[in-house]
Amino acid sequence: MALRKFFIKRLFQSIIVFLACSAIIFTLVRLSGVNPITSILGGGKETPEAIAAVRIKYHFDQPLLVQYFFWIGNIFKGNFGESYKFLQPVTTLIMERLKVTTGLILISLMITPLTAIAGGMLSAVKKNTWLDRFISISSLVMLSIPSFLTGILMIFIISTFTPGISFVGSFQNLGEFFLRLIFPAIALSLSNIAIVLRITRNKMIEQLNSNYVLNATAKGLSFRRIIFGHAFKNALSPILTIVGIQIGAMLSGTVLVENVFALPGVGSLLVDSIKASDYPVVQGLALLFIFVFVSINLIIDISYGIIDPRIRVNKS
Amino acid sequence: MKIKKALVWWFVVLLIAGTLLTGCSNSRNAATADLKTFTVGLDSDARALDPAKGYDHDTNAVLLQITEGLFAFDNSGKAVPALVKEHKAVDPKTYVYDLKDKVTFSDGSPLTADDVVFSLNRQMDPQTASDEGWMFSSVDSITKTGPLQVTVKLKAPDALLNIKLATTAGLVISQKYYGAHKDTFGKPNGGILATGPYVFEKWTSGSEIVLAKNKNYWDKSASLIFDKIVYKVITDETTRVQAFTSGQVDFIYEYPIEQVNQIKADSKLRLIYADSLCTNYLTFNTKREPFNDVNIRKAIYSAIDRDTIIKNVVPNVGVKANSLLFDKTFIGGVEDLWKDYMAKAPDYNYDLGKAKEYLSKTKVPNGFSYTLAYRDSTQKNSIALSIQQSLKELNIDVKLDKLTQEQYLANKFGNNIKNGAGDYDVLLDGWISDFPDPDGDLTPLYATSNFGPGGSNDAGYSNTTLDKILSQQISETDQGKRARLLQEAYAIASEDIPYAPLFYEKRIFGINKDLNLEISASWLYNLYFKNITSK
Repeated sequence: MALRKFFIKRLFQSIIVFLACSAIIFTLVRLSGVNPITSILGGGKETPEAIAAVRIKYHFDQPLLVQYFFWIGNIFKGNFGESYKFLQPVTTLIMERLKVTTGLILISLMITPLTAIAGGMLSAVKKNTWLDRFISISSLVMLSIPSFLTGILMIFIISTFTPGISFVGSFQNLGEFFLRLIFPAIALSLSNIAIVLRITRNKMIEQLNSNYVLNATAKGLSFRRIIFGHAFKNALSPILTIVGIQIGAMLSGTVLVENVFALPGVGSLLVDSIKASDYPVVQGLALLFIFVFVSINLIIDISYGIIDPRIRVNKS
Repeated sequence: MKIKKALVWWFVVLLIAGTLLTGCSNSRNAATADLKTFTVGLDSDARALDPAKGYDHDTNAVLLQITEGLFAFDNSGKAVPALVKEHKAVDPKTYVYDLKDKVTFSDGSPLTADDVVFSLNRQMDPQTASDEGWMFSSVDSITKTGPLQVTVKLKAPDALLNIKLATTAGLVISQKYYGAHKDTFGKPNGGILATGPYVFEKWTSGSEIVLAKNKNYWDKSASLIFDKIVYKVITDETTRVQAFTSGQVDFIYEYPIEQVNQIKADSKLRLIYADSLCTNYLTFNTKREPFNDVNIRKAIYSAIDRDTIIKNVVPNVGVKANSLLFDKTFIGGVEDLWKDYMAKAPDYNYDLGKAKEYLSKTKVPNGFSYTLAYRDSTQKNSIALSIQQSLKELNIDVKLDKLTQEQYLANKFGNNIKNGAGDYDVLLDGWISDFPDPDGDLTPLYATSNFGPGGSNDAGYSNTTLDKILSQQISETDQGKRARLLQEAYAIASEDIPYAPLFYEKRIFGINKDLNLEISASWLYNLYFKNITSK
């Protein structure tokens, strides 16, 4: 019963956060001072009749508060408005591009934990050897280079040494889809790999130094058994938490990476829309990002609540 | 043990991916060598494949291959008949256009006067919210007066009518097709049907647009060397240039000037320097002290060394401007009427002595300080610094205010007017004329009526004599008389100098060296890929 109450309370809080953010976005976007009619009509030297028609169509004749309720009310009906630039429903634009971004994050999620955990474990087991130092230094480098720079460097390298590999190809089939996404996914993953790797290393070393490992060694268990059967299992839960949180970070990373790799995902759409003062799309995307962040937090909170009853008692 | 197994699997996956990559890259190499497909790198997706939204180069890159208009600009900037066979002005307010017969849409159906009347009226209708709607402000009605005849009646004579019809405003679409695709017309799932050499095939939003050769193209004299035109949306400049230099795209708009030297060494690529209708200038806020004094404007202009700025900042693309927003690209077809004028067009030379003299006649003979605002970019920043340096000689202290794109737009089009004046001192700005005619600059920038919301007279300039001349020349259909009126207007503009022109800016296009294409100043409206020939 307590769990249900906890769940409802968290859900309710999330909805409030979501609504508050929507109001903030709506206001922020309008603070820029750019007249949206300029972006809809391209220039601004239009006839008064054309300007009047646009004002009515997009409700610019109404006060800001009314415009906000129009917008938020329509969202609950599944209508995010129409793009000023592309004259298409925002939902259509976002849905079309969501598959690229989702693919990018999924591939990145395949690369990150596996590479990072393998590297981190190796580093921990071979602590203070040249291999450990090599891994540590490379991960430091990976962490320090922002993902868009990695992307630009990758494009330079690809186009100089293997000009045959296209980074502007289309998405005819699954193979091409994968080909287009693998390099950006690597660029997106590098810094995340470094973070997860370092945490894995620290947690593993912590476990390897603990008494139960000493006990297991004394019992005569094989080294392999100790590493995979005991120490790693105990180190895993904090690692997974970090990976979960990084999905959010990846979403913001896609904004930069997609732009560099000319990928038609939501990230490049966001950049494009900001450039064009395309308010409805900017708002819709910001709302989508907030939704993902809030949902991930909700899921993490609730799963903690399920795993560890102390949390839900303390918080409620 | 499970984890070890997973790791092994992971390496297998990576291996397969690696093999796939090398395998596919080989097949791709072969594809780029084939010039049956022309690949264009766009810096942004097209807005809509709709003539009503044909106002930026990305949209027009696609639109101009599919659609054709009543007129088109030739490479000298003159509006010449395209879909029109004959045209005449019955009186200064009535124009009759006879269409070419045997023109067909790409589905084989014939082009009729109905399609033309529909297309133009649609542009004119405020409900369409067309970007070019304002071009029809002088038009009273557009009607069909025969199966292949269209008559345009004007409210007042308009010297620019045929010029406007040579822009995207005059593009013709199929009325039948529009009727069948009302809600999706021009969008990725609706497309467009017109008479041009290429037809719409596919549009993946944000990524790719594909056109195919029009098998029914009416103009049999055209030699279309491409079977397909593929547009790739590559928003990042570095990536776009890399896609071009590695041969993944054959053509890009706007090659960055800083990287011009990279190309010289490479034999597969060529850069085309095209004239443009773009002038870079300083906008003086003539409604604000001390810039309301013409001597201040003259002092500042005389103290700026345009040659040095061009040499240091825009060496390959800057063409020195005289005191007018005007050069040869604006007088296509009427060069003779302008030859004498061009030779002795008024100008201010770089002359510090004169500058000090002008300054001594003002209220601030010992100098003052002001803020120069501009959209932040490497180029603009270098120009601003150079101006700042030059004006120190006059003891004028220039503060630089770098604006974001948003802040920049917030200053434009009368968006930032407080107490009847723009809220800025001087802007480092530019203007691209809407068509290759002097009036593309004069009326928008100098007419009193264009100060205020929606207008582009950012200088807040007002001169009743000039206003009168501007409204006279627009109704003057005699070319000689009109040229003389425009020259009078220029004389006033040069004397009052609310804008201080610095240079005209060429545009750099990148093209595959195996292809030939001539690009003229009106490229926004006449960059037709059907004109490309292969070497």
